[in-house]
Amino acid sequence: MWMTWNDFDRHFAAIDTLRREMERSTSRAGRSRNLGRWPEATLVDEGERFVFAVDVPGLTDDDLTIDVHNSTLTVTAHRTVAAPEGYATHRSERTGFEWKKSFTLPAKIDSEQTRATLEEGVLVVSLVKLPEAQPRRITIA
Amino acid sequence: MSNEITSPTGTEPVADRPVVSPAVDVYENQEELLIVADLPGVTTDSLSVDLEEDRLTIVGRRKALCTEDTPVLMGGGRAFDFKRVFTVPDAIDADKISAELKSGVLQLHLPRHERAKPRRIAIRSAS
Repeated sequence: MWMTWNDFDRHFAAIDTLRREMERSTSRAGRSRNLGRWPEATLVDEGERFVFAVDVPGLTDDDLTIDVHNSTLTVTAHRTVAAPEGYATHRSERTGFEWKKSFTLPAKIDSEQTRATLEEGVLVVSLVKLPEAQPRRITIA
Repeated sequence: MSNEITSPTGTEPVADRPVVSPAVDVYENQEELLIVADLPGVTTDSLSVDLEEDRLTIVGRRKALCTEDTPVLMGGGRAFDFKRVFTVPDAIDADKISAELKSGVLQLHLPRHERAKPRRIAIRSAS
């Protein structure tokens, strides 16, 4: 389980580093950091649960699907961006996107207790670990 | 912003809070300029839009997703600020600027002055 995670983590870190490098080099030219279609995603371990968050500005519930199977979380999202009618476009940095991302979590998830909220354009998924995966303090007999 | 020093080349943040430039669209029609910005995680309380002379500054403060000691497995989750500064043309009527924030997307309407609106002049025959 940990191997799967680590592989993915390394992969992500490499992309993240590359993205930051590109941000740094382009920010001086006053351009946007929003390059490509890689979503801004965060995963934290709060002990009894994982919290996954991803930026999806402008999306509604209908634009998202969230699936949990064993220890895998799969999220899909799509957004279309079009110039409002009757307006000329001066600058167009906000891009549409369509992505599907799967994340293998380092513990089994109780899919019944998984909850998702969408507020201010941020999707937050709370993934409760199954009892056997919960952290436990061992008392010394 | 009080936590910044102004240099001839722009501004540099002094506080240890990352500043991120949000993706922005700018549209225009005969009535107004329309600025659309992606500000995910920003609420009306944490957003400021200021016009000082011809400088329009948009700042959105975003909270951290977790406390400092929570293990982060992927991504950041840290607090940061969205910030973008625009130079606004004279033709904008500053008193009539309006803004709405919905699902992390800001729509900023900058109406033109009446006198700056394009006008077609009717030509009468001089017969």
